[in-house]
Amino acid sequence: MAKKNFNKSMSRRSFLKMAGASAAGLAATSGLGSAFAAPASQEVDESLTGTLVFWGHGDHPLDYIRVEFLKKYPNVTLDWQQIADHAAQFKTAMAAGTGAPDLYWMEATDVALYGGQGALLETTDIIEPIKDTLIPGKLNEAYVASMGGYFGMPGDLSVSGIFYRADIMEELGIEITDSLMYEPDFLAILSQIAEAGKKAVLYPAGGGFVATAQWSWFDAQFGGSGPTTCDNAEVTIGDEASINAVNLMKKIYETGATLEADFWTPEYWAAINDSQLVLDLCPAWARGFWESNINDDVKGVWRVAPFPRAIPGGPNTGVWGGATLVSPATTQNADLAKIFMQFAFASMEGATAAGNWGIIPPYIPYLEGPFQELTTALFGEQKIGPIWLDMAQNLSLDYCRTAAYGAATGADVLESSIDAMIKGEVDIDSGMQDVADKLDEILPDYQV
Amino acid sequence: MTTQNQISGAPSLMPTPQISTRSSIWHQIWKHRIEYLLISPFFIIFGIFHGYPLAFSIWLSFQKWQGIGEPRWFGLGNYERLLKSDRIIGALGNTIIFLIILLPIIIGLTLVLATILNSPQIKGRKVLRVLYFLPYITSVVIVAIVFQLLLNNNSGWINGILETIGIGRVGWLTEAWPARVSVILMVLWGATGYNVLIMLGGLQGIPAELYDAASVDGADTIQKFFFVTVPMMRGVILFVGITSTIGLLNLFTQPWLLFSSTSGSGPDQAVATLNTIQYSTAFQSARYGEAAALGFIIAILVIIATLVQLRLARAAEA
Repeated sequence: MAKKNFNKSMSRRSFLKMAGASAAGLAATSGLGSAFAAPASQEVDESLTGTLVFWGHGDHPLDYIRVEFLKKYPNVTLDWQQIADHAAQFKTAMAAGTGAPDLYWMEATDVALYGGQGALLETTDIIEPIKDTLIPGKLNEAYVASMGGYFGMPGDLSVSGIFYRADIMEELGIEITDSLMYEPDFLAILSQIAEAGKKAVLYPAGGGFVATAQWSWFDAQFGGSGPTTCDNAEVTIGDEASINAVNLMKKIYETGATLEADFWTPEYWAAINDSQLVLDLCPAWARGFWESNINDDVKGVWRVAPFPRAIPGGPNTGVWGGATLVSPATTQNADLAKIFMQFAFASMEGATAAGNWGIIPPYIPYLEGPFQELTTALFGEQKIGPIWLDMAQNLSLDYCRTAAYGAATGADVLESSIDAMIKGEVDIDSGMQDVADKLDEILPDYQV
Repeated sequence: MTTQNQISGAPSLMPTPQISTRSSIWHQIWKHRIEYLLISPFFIIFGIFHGYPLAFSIWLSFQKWQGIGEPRWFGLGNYERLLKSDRIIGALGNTIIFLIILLPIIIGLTLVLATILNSPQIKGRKVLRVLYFLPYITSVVIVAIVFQLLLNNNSGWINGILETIGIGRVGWLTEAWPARVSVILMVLWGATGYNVLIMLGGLQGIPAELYDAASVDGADTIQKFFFVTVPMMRGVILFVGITSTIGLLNLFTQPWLLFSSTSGSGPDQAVATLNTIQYSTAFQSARYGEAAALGFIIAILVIIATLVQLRLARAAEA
């Protein structure tokens, strides 16, 4: 999922979701420097009928896609139901085996969990013919190794990059290029920012899911596979890549540049508005929320750049969130659901609508086409399309979010342990070994 | 064998019918079938919405289940895992800290406030009573947002006031003990009104003659409070104590909303409670069996705490 899934199911932060979501859609329309009209050559097909039910939050990425779909298929009914606690309701419906919607916007880790149990509609038949038109790193997230097939349609390309204040970097004599290494370049930049009395990179007290998201990025960039191997068979959260990731986080923290504020709270936005926070590591879907929450006078002066690299030639990005459009296996409208999925993220009309809303669809023809010309209120005249596309093409293919990912990075494993390591209270090697041991104990719960 | 006549008490010459206990019960049920029919909706609804979920949870606590697919038998594995978990021990410690600090404050504060609000000398008592109850009916989500705004390190009003008077900033949301204080303040803000109402009801049941008699004996206001009010309010104080204990052992909303980015744990896991862990285990980590087991551990703690309080109350009365 794009804007509201902070690496976990979103029911827990409903008030942030509501605040951000309701404004984000407005930002997506008002804040965009350029929004693209759907391709004019859309043929109308009145023969297609049926009803699809979708559950999601208000102001959803699929809303714009829905409008375009109905232009092409006017006799289809798309029943979009905005439900505040849709995550809990969906899980309940799936557990009951009845009452689930036809379409749902699902996190990668849940795709692995539900797909692995055969609870999702397999979409291998529609994915295989179009595989080459989808970004491989994102396509991987719809693949369930244990079932040997695809489940759902990859939705939101949640690549992540550096958001930075170009004007302040210029004042400080700092150059953000696309060829930085974390060490020594990025750490030196952070130290310089700290010396100037500014802040860079959010790190909330206690770390929380921001810390685990950062760990995810860096683990992928160091060549890790995530908390487990991609087949979910073995624990890898204690491997060298993972330890390197935590070490890097510690070094970033020790530069003194990090902003200690809770995620996307008034304090965070105030730091941006006051030009205190001048650089942060953010997923692409953050743009809409930024545009909704920061003052106009600080829009247009931000720029985006790829992450520094952790290893020479390694990935220059990571993922945070990013959903897959799925359908439960119990749907009575399988064929219609597949048609919608293909339209949404494997057609120019759907991809354009998704891009206009503010997410980055994984459809390569769109990314290499209209997306290249996209400008936004936040990033001013910078054409962000080429940068995000480059990052998307550099996504690690070795990194996986398996069925155990949510629990592994969650409160009872990594999230509760990582802060002490960052702060130097616990040795990283032994700390990550403890984390690995905890995950080892519960991993069988997530193996089908 | 003879039986006694039920009206006169004289021995009856009629033999006692030899009816078995089993048929007697069914006979009784049939005899009172209309009454049972009228009270059955309660039991049906109770069975569906309380009984069945309770039985299912008990069964689930012995399984491994991700919310999808077939549960797998795990025996006492969930309970073992929980009782060995450092995180659970830490959360239990936090819960006990909140209990030890909040329980006396809630009881003492609400009794004093209720006594003041019950005093005829206070003008605008009715308005004040409404104002005290308002926090209880205010959305806790909105309250959490306001508390975050008030308490945040750099731009919060509380730190602004503290800096102005020369105390300096406090990390209300970023340091362990201040984070606990933040939760305590938010709980107090919401719980005071309801408990003041309960106490007020109890106070209004105390006969005025007792206070008159105390006045005649020369008791001042403080003495009347401790020697008339408190003893007469024992039952209400016990009720507030037990209900507050149950609420505190189930503390979830305030830490979760104030510290949502750390799954309700806060800095250094300082405000993690058993319930925040239960929620994250179920809905974040999808380990529903373990969450169910934790629910029963919490229930056992509540039962133990309640029994202890009742024992102490009886001992005090004796």
